[in-house]
Amino acid sequence: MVTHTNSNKNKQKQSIITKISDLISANQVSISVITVLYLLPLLTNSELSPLRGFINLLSGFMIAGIFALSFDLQLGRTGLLNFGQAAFFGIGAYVTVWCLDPILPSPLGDILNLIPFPLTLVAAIFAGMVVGIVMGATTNRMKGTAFAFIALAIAMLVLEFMELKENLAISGGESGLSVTRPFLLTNWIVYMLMVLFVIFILSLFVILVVKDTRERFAFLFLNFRPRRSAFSYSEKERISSTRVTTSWIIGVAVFILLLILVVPNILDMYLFATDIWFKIPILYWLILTSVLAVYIFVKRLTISPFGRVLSAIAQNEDRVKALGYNTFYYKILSVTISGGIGALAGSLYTVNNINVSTPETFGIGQAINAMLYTILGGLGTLLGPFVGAVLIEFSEWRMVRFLWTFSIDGQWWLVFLGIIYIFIILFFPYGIVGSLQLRSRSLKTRIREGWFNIRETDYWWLTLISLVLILALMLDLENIMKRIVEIFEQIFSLFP
Amino acid sequence: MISLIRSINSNEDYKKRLILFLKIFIALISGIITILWIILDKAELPNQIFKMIVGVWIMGLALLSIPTPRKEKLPQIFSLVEIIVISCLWLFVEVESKGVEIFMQNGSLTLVNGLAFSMLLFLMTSGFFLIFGLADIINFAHGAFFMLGGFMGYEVYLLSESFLITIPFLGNDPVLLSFICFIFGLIGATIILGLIGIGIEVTTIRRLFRKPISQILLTVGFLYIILQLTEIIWGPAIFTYNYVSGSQTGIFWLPRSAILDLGGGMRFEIYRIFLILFGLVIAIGMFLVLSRTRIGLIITAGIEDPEMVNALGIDTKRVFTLVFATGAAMAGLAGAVAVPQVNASLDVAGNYLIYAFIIVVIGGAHFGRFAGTFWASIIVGLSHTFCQFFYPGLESIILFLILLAILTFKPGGLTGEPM
Amino acid sequence: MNLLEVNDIHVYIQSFYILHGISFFVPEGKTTVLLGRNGSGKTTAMRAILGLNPPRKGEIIYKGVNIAHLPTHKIVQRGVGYVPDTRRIIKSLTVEQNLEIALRKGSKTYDERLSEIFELFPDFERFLGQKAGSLSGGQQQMLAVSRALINDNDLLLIDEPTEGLSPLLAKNVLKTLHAIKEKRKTVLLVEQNFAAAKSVGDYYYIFDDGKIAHNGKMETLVDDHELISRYLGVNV
Repeated sequence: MVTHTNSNKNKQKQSIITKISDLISANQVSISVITVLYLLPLLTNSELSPLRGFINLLSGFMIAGIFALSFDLQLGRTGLLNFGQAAFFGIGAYVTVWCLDPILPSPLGDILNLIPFPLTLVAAIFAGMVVGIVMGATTNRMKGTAFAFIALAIAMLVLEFMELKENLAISGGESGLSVTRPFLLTNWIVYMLMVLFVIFILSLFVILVVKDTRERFAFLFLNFRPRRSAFSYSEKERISSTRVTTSWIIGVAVFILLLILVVPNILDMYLFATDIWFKIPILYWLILTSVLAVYIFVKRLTISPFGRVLSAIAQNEDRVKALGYNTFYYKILSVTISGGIGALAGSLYTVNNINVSTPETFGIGQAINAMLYTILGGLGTLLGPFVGAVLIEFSEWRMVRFLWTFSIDGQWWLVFLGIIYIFIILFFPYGIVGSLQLRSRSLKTRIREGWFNIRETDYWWLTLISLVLILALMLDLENIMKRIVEIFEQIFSLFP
Repeated sequence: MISLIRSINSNEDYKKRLILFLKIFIALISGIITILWIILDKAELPNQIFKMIVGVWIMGLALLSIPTPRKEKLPQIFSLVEIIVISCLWLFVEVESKGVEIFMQNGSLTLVNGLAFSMLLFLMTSGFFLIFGLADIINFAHGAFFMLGGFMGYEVYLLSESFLITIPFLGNDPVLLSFICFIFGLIGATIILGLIGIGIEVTTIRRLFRKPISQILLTVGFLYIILQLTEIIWGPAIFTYNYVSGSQTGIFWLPRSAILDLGGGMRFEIYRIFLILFGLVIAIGMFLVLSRTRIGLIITAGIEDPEMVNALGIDTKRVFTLVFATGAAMAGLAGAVAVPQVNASLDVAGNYLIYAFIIVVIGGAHFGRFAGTFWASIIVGLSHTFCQFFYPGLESIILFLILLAILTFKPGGLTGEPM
Repeated sequence: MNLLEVNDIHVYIQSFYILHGISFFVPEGKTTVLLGRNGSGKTTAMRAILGLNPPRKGEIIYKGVNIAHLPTHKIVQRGVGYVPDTRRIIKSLTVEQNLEIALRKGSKTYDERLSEIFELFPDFERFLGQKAGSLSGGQQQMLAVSRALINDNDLLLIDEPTEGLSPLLAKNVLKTLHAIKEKRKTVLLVEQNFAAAKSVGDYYYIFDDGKIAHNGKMETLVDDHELISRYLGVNV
């Protein structure tokens, strides 16, 4: 008990360095994942490469993931089946259009054009929240299917309104509108600032490597000391343990290696790239940062008291009412927050795609897509919507082309996808991530004891390696598939 | 100012009164602006203001639809008076500007077209309503069933035509031939869709009995699959099919050019009159089945209290299979009957699904009656057609205005209970 | 002989553990009363027998067959009549249609059964064509009871028949219960009103927090004032 209170006191006095090192050791896996994702654009230079296209593709996946997350926030957390989600997406997309383009007429006149680019995202979020408040205020007395009814009706109302002949000037109708790309997205200064930010994240990663090597291979280095236990850290020991040792040398070596990998590309970009070349990396970083922000926000939200009340409402609304909570207020807030996130997805979609049309953004197809992603990935899991989005979008992109090579109509794959979706609803109601999480404990023990003898601290580099492998596989799937097919053909040719 | 806010916070009664005042204010302002709009519409008001008016009107109705205690009906009465005054003004302006005679001609034509459209909507929505009432499932695949019915009707029509044209007796009489083929098309679409409905229900939906949200997600999956399959088989959304284009005789029993002339400028398409009669016959038949036969009574009772019906010794699962299959079959029938008017195309699925939604909510979704669906489809069909004729471009908005207005005065729709 | 035997059933509603291993017997031709406070699990036990909340563990033996995992309609078709606690008549149908739905194929014709019902409730004939929703509370209760009586049910499950009725109407219902008893029907009754339970019941089971706290013959309970005030909150 005594040591416990001591450590609490020490925590208050911690310096920034120790705080960062604590943060790093608490989030090893996420830091390694973030590093890899942020590093990707630096691996391209001012030449066309498959990686460049792939990065562009990943941006699209992440936008779909954000949108699916906003859907999941309602169905998975609050138990509200919102088919009107497309209204948020569309509003976000169109507010961005109106903000970005000074020529196009907009409902609020020239005011919207005064908003500079990064703030348009905020404006879109606000617009989505306003729609969310209206939707929440009109539907807050309903639950389950009735809610789905009215929410969809509201979304359809907005769609019909945008498609009115009188409104074609501001909405573009089915052919859509094109926007000029914001100046900041094609600017090498922004690129350089982002590079600095990526280098900061890289240094975090290097600290992680340093810490890990020191703990793992302590016996190799001269400053051998027993593994620290949770209750025995004092200020003195911390300071002494941050001395420069061999582990730091390894860390700096890793850092320099990464820089050697990256710096020629940066120089190349600076010297040879025209403005438009900066678009894909900057946009990718912008979207990735938004994904992280949204993810952390939603994660915080779900473990906060507010989030607990929301999941309680999903289970039994009457009981929550009986406990003295105003559930209507909570439901409205839930719809509003989810509306803001959905609008952010729509706004990023506009910036990414440039051309925006009403059926694409407001149509029921968007809501259906969000639902497919969420159900496939796992309801109520934060990661699930992203996993589902990446899986489906990627398979749509790759498998359709893959099937074409066999002269099968690629759309059969989409039919197959629908069948998979139905199977998942029937037999795996928790989706991919959900089912894995349910079994994760037994899986973890199996991995740890039975199969590979892996420790908790090993997770980060395993994740790192598997993430890099997955990305490589996604990047080059077609060739790999072709090779597999060739091998099969060779095998078959052996048996005439 | 601060003291005012404090007093609002401290005094519940004051707060209530303030909200009431706000509601009345919003209702009044939105009403006045709408009246002004209708009067000034002839002067071609700029685009911007039109949008704002509709926006304010919707906002007012949306705010009003927040349930209030029974005593505070005042704002709702205000908006009722508004709606009546606005409708009268509209009639007045319309008659004044165009003259009585032309107004009558247009009116009767739109009435017939509207009724035909209503019957079409009713045929499609009845199954949707029964499925929703009995099991709380929003059947998203219903629009797809409707669309598929259209394609099936089209294919069966062409198939039977290619067989029957060889018979000399029929081959010489293209009108009779196409009529028989049309009937074959209807029957074929109904049967095929009924079988598809049974297949879907028995293999998947039944497994998630009494989990409405999962069942809804399932139906969305089927919507997706059916749309994709249709696109593979019949081509992307830009293609439309109708009986005449692929037909060998090049004629349809009820050609859209066949006109019934009653004199006095009143000329109606025979196809539409046929639609009205056909819809009425089916509607009366369904009413009789639901109110006279045992299975109909069970369905009616099941909409009200499915668990109790189960506890009376009735296999509700099997009843639901029947209802789902019937619903799909009715959607197929409606789709096939609609092909000469709306053609078979992919767009139909989404559009008609939305109509079904609106009709069921207006008619009374929760514990609603079958009659509610009938009247709601008449309201929706008529107002849609009238708006299309007199205020083109506004026809989809008007449906949602009606929806909001009805939910304001009767939160449960025409026959249902508040959700 | 026991018509119904409930052996150690464990019932959950969603994730809430309601009945913790309940066992009781319903002898043929007798009236068994389940007593207990609100929320002690009496209604849940009844719903478990009917298969509306099927037990996760344990068996329910009716006429020698385990019916614990049969679907509701199959259980009812074996001759179980159910009178739910909030009546739950179908309000949008007429009285006659309500009875029609409940009717199953059996030995007697519809008219014969209807005349039996009229013997019990003489003024029923007037209401036959009326919408069930327009009936008064007492009449609705009579309809709910006659819906169970119209078939040749061997076992009647009656849930709080006097709930929400005025004393005079409650007396009427009690009279009906006595009439049913005279016909040698087997009844499982849930009743909060101890006076009513006392006069009809042969055996009793007292529920407390999902368990059976006490059971025995009704006559012994009537004298045990301490038990009554402890579990039922009634001062005799």
